[in-house]
Amino acid sequence: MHIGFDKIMDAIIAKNLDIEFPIYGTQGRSLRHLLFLSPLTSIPKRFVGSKSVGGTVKERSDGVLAVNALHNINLRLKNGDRLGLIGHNGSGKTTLLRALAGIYEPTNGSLVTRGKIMPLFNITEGMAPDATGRELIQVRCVLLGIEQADITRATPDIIEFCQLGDYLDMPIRTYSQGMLVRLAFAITTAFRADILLFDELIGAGDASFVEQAHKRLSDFVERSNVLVVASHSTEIIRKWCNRAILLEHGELLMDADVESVLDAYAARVPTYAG
Amino acid sequence: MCLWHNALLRRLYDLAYPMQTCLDNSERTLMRPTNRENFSLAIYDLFEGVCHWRLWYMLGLNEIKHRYRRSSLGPFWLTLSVGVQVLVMGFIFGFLFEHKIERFIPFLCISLVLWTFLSTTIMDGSNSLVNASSLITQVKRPLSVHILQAVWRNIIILCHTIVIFVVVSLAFGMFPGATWLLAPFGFFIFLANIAWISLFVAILSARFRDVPLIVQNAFTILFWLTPVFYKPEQLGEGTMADLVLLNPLFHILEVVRAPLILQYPSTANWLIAGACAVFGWAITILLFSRARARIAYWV
Repeated sequence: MHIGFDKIMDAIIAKNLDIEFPIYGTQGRSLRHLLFLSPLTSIPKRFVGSKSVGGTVKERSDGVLAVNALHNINLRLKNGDRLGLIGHNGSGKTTLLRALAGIYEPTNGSLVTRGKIMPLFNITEGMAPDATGRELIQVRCVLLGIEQADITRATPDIIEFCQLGDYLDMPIRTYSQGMLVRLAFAITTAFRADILLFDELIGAGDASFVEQAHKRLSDFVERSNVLVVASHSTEIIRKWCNRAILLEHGELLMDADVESVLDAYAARVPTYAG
Repeated sequence: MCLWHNALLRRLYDLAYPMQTCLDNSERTLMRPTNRENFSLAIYDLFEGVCHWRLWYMLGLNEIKHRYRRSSLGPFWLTLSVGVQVLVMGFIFGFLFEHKIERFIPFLCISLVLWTFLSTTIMDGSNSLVNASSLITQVKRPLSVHILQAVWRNIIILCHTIVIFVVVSLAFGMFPGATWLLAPFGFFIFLANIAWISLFVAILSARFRDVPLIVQNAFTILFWLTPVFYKPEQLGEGTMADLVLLNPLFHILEVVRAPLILQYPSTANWLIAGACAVFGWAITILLFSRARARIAYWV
């Protein structure tokens, strides 16, 4: 890559990053349509150019509709950056997190990341509702690719931080959303990572959790890590972040300090309503 | 992960991302890959999936554990249901075909056990990527993990159902013989074929949601078209018998079934089953190279 990656400071560099979702709706994705109907006839043309809530809808050269969930994102994060993602529903916050995690590979442009990435995602995925909290810790750690010895070593710390006590031996279907977030957060932050990616889920924790989590995160960031948080909670963004970007319809509108971006967002909210 | 895994993965990673020299916990560049890179990335995904054995081993085991957690017989329900099926079909078909029951029932038993394994693995496989969509979109893991998980889960089930065959063959006085030594080789080829078919249909299913339904229906028909509960010899000398021999599933099944019922698979069985595995994997890897990066967008 010839985009000037600073080996010491830079953790993430996105250059002209595009993420484009093909939409094979209820009709498009079936073989019937591919074989018997011209794809052009099945496209609801009225969607093209629409910008209601999500990214821009456009027509690809092969006739398939596509949502430009992220368009032309240029972003450079260095170690110590705690970035808040701000934007309306469907502005591309989650898509950006997933792209950073390497899940959606760029349709165009490039993305360089350096270091171990830890995502905080919906913890119950892939789990039977009858599984206990302890089993959940085990499965999730393995899912994050952590060696068994490290899991065993970190488990007491996870148990202590999440404060679930005896609940850990109960089935996870009895847990509240907030309890799950505590557990997910405890697991994600129990291991060394260079880049932490938090989705809006984090907002489900209560005030005492946000406080505790903030303390734990401060340790992390001191060890020169990068944090990216998507949240609608201005409190979390103010408390945790030292930088923010504003996304709108998949485009990066503003990249500045937290207060100015929050102000700009507040000023733009009325335009989303109409 | 052992050392040779790491060395191998590193080599593959170098091929996949020629600009970097590190594994996934270090620097990574993502951009639209060239065809050659896509090919290496697909191979890399497969090997990485195998190396993540702890993940699919655990997820597969958990699934079985939780499915039967509150039942008294647990996974032995599977044993019981196959047992009943074999007894009922054995007596009815034995009577209809005027077979010697003591030879026919062990044959029917192993056929049903292996066929059920083959068809359910492929059907599970076809749904594996779509069902794992929430995992795929939340954490970056090799996609092959989900197919391996489906295969592994069905191997656990096979371990429960194969018990019936052992019991039945002993009960009818069919004791293990020298041919059993061939069974592991046969099983390896059998499994290699099942794995590529599963991956192949899983990719297609992620893109075209009709595929799992097509697969399901195909297997209902294939159960009758493949010599599962009858032998090709029983069809006589006509074109029907020749047509049945063209069915690769028969040969894939035969390389593991024949040794277990004390017969030697023919050379044609070995060659066709082996060739299917090789060509099948080649085609599947090409498909996977093309689709891998897009699967997260499709599921």
